[in-house]
Amino acid sequence: MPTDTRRIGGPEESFSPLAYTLTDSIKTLMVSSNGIRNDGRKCEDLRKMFIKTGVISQARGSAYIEQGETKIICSVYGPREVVRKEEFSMKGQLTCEFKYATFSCSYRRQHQQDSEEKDFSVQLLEALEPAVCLHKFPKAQVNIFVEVLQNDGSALAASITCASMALADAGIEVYDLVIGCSMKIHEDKVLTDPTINEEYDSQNSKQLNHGSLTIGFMPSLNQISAITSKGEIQIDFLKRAMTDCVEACQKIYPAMQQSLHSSIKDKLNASER
Amino acid sequence: MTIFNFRTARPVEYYRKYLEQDVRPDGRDLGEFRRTVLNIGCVTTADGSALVKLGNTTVMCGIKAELCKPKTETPKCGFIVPNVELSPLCSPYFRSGPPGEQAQVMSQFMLEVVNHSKCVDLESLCITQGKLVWVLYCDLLCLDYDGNVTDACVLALLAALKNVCLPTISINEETENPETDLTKRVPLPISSQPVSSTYAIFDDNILFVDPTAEEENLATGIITIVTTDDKLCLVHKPGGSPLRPEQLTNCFDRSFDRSKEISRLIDETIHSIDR
Repeated sequence: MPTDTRRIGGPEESFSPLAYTLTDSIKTLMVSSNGIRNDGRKCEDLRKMFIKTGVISQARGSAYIEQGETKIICSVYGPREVVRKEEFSMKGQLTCEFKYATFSCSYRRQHQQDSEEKDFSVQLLEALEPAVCLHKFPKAQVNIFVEVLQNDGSALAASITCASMALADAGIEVYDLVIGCSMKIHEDKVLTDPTINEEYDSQNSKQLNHGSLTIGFMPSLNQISAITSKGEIQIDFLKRAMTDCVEACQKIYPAMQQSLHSSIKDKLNASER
Repeated sequence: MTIFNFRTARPVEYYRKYLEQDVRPDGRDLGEFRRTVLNIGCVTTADGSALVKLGNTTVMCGIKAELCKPKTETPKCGFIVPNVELSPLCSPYFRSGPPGEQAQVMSQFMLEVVNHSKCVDLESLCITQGKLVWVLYCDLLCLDYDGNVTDACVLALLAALKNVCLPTISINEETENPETDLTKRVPLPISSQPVSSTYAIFDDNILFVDPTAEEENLATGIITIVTTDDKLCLVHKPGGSPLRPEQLTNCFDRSFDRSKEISRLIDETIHSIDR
């Protein structure tokens, strides 16, 4: 393993105490027969959500989101000049960096971006790009940084929502907000906003239908900007999950509007003073 | 010229005008810290965590405990590995990629604070001598860089260490493998409380505490003093304007006051969580 000379080094090798837990995690039913999930929610229920914009004073725009125990912070900088010698483009550029904090998951994560984080960065970028008026800032770029402080499932979906709020807070012109939402498909049930224990795990599933779906939805245009599905899902179920996802997004939309509304009010009050 | 333009065009003059009246543009006295907010145990996936807000400056500390073999020369000692992350998220002046010079210097400073203050007895991290010890990865994540990140980091680290609850480990005698019991958790004993206070030197003679990012840029020198309870632990003054001994004594007095303020703040926060 290459040593990182720019950080304080610890021992050469270390193991998580979770690797030695005695009781094998007993497999509990994901959904009980009367349709109640482990955390007491019904299949179609979202977790409690908290959104706040303008949390980072140094950033052009920023947002913080809590979806159950999932906590994500996001900042937006720019439009600023293109730093690296990238391809010249008359259109503006958007960059996304998605990172899990080292302490955000049950196992410790490394400081360097791993392949999952790179994958999520690209997915996030592709979900947001259709909504941003790139032609409004030619030859410049807008940088989005997303940090997951605690991961309890649906991290990508929550970051899409969070990043789109941060873009709005930064005053970057957009066609629409983008709302992220994910679903878990388990046997014949579609679970909205899954927690980390409910999220897709290909190794432990032997059912016909097992998988997950994440979408980015633009509510006022009524368009889907991004969609990814993992696992084995029958087409009928995928269709059903997609409609459920859109419905769930429409439930999130008022919360986002309200949050933006109150942040603008605060800004106006502050400038009057 | 409006006041805002004056601030941008002639920042030093602008500050001088205020400092003549012994006050700073944000209304603080020279010896006044920004409002300090502490939240302990905010990340449940970490073994210990804390969030500190010092005015706008925000630092989050998360501690992950892992098991490892001790060094041969110190068979009873565990490890504490503090790392400061100044990510591009917190300020437009940082770029992504490996940690920059400032982050490296701060990480090293945090390591020195941990080692010299002896706030955690490394032997208390021992499970079986020479075979198995704890390593505490303390990651300090700056979320908003508005000056004086050092003080925020030291407080976040201390509060997070106080929040650490380690699962109990027993050794299976047959297989010699460790076994973890997550239900029984023990708090980590903390033997001293390092508290840091940072001062900026302006125009080579005016000292004020807890500089914002703007004030840090205008300062002609920075000095950081770390106290542990009623003793001096570390004084860090990397060059900058020279100081008179009595100025330094004033700083020491202010630092001991701050130490008392912080220990009250930590106690209050821990109490409010227990309830």
